[in-house]
Amino acid sequence: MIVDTSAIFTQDLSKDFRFGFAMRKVRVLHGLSLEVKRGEIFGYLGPNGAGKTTTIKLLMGLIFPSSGEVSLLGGRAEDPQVKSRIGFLPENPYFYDHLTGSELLDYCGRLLGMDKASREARILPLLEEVGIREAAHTPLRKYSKGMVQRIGLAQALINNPELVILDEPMSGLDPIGRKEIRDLILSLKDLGKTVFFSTHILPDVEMICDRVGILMKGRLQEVGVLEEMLEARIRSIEITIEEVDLQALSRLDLPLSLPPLQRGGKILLSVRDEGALQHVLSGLIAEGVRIVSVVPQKETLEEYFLKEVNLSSGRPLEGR
Amino acid sequence: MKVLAISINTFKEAVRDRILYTLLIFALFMIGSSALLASLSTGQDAKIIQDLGLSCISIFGTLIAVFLGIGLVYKEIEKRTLYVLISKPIHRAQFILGKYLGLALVLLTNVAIMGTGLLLLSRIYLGEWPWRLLVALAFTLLELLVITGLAILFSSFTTPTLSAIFTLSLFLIGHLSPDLRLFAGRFSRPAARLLIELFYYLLPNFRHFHFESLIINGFLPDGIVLFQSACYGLLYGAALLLLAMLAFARRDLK
Amino acid sequence: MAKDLLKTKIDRGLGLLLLLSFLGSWLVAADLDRRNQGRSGEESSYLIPAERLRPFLLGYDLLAADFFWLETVQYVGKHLLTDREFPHLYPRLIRVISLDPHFLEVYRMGALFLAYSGGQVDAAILLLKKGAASNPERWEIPHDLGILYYLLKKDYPSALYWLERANRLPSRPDYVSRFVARLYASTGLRETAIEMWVRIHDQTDLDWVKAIARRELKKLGAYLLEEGGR
Repeated sequence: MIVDTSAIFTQDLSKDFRFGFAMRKVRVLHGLSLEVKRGEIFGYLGPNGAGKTTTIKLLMGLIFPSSGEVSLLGGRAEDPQVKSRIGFLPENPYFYDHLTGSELLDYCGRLLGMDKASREARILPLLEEVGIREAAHTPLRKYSKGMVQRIGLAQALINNPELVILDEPMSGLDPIGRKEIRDLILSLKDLGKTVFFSTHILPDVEMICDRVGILMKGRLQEVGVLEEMLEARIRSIEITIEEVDLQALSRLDLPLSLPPLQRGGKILLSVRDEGALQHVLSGLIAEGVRIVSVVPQKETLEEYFLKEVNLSSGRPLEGR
Repeated sequence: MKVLAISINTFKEAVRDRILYTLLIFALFMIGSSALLASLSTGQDAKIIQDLGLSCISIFGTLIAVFLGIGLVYKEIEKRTLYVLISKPIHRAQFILGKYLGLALVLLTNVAIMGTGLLLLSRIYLGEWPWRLLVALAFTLLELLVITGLAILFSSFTTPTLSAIFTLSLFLIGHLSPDLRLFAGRFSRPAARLLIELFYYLLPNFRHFHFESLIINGFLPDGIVLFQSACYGLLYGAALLLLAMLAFARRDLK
Repeated sequence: MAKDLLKTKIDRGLGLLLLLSFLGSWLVAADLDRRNQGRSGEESSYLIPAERLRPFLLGYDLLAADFFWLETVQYVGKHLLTDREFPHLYPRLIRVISLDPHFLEVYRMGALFLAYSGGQVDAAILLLKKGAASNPERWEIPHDLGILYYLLKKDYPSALYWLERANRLPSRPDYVSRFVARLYASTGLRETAIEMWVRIHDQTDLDWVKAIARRELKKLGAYLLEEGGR
């Protein structure tokens, strides 16, 4: 049921499109059920063509579901009341060339029903916040891609929305720009806002998201706190011990996943999981071996991502 | 008002379109040259200038209405400026209305400019201001507004090419429709006749906006006729606009 | 998707307004049409002479001629179905041929309409004479003129003059020389008339022209067999 504490809620949301002359129906989103809680930063992840933008368009009421439900802030996306509390930045945005930065924000402000005074008070500080104050009176057609992205963010924030939906917000920005946007998103969270953004740039997600949803080929593969998701995928645990005699070690018959590795005066042992870890540790301690460190080797998000992409496309795993 | 904001933005954007200026200048040139061709005697030549002038304004106005009108919605979708608009708290219907009013403003300006030129020219050749022309110009504008309604209706759900084809076809049909209706008399079955009647009233009838033959010859149509013709234009135009709003309301904006 | 149109209150409101405005426009249009029954709007004083128009046609004179011809045919069609009067036909025809003087069909059909339906024989003759001046090589126009003079004006000297002209032109049908011969001999006037009407009947696709021909033949005491015999 639609709960007011969720910022975004979908239930079995599906979308079909018709392609080609024969108008063949193709399902691009399969039964998406998702809930984004208020006040969190949610990263929507997936390779290109997975259906992220389709999902966002469904959320925003740009396209209509073939089946299932979708609600934002407890209401329907087409409801102007709801829209006045939301900020949206589309992928590769484009704005009216002939307007300047501040004119665009003024126009958006009017459409939001803001009066002249509020608009004037809001525009310049907002431009400052996104880092393009100097370009306030420059026509948009002269903006670089990064600047367009920033003004896009500005128009999404002009009404001080509770929920901010961003489609590929980091696209077109250099690393410094990306950091600035990440910081901005974090500051939005501090203000109590909910942020939902889609991306295929993994490091950004790792750094700021509370929770993550992974979409592949129109299906939601997994949702959860990133840490937990990756923890469940600990590749192996690496134990570093002080130098010992390798032969003596092998006599211990420890359940190692790989042969011991000698490196820089120490020995590296690998075990598969927690269970093996306990076994090995107790074995080592019993022999009086000095344990230097125990480090779980988590699968990085990238590795996880690539693995899932390969799985979902039926290609055999590479490497491992 | 939100709709007004959209209209003004549409107007500003349309005014920068080079096609608009080209057509406008060409129209003024045509109106002017009709005078160059006229001999110095008055009477028949003044009539010709007025008639050609009004036709010019009508034709060029139609071209402007069609070319700008069909691009209206399509351009916004193509360039994705629409996404940003729709995410704001406005109804899709308000968007269509705003766009329409913006274009109406552009047409008003154009007709005003071209009409002034024609009035000036006619003044020179007639020796007096032909105020009656204002009535003809007003109805030309009304006709253009209906054509724009058609253009917006089609552009809210098909491609620009098809929109142009449909709009121009209906423009032709709208001038011929009264004659098509005569065929109704050939059918004996009342069901067929009713169907043709429905079809006839569904399609626009632009003949109701043309009083040139009376006006140029120095007469004015009856007040009742003028009033009813104006009502027809406004009601039919409103219907087109409402249909466009509905068509746009549930359309997927891919 | 189309099925959940009209789901929201706004959509329903718009739909209702749509229905109302359309019905409104229907009512007003119907009333206007009723008022306009008598008004013709076809006064010929209003037709712009072709010479004035020409500079604007940018060389597309023939296309404009086609367009005006279509309009003329419409005009004829409309009046054929209603009052069978064609007061403004002649200026319209002139407009077409001044843009395209070699548009043969216009002279022939135009003369047909003017003479046999509209009772404007002199106008028809005038039209055909213009056609003869612009197209001296074509047999059709003097042929039609000759027949017109013969049948409708009973002016045999003029008929002879024009049929002789036709006779001298290439590709004319055989019967022309026969007509000329008979006229010279001042004999077989009735037979000639009958044959002329038969030719007219056979050469046309228009039902009403065929009807006129049959009527005339009946007056002359001849009857048409189905196969076109005498």
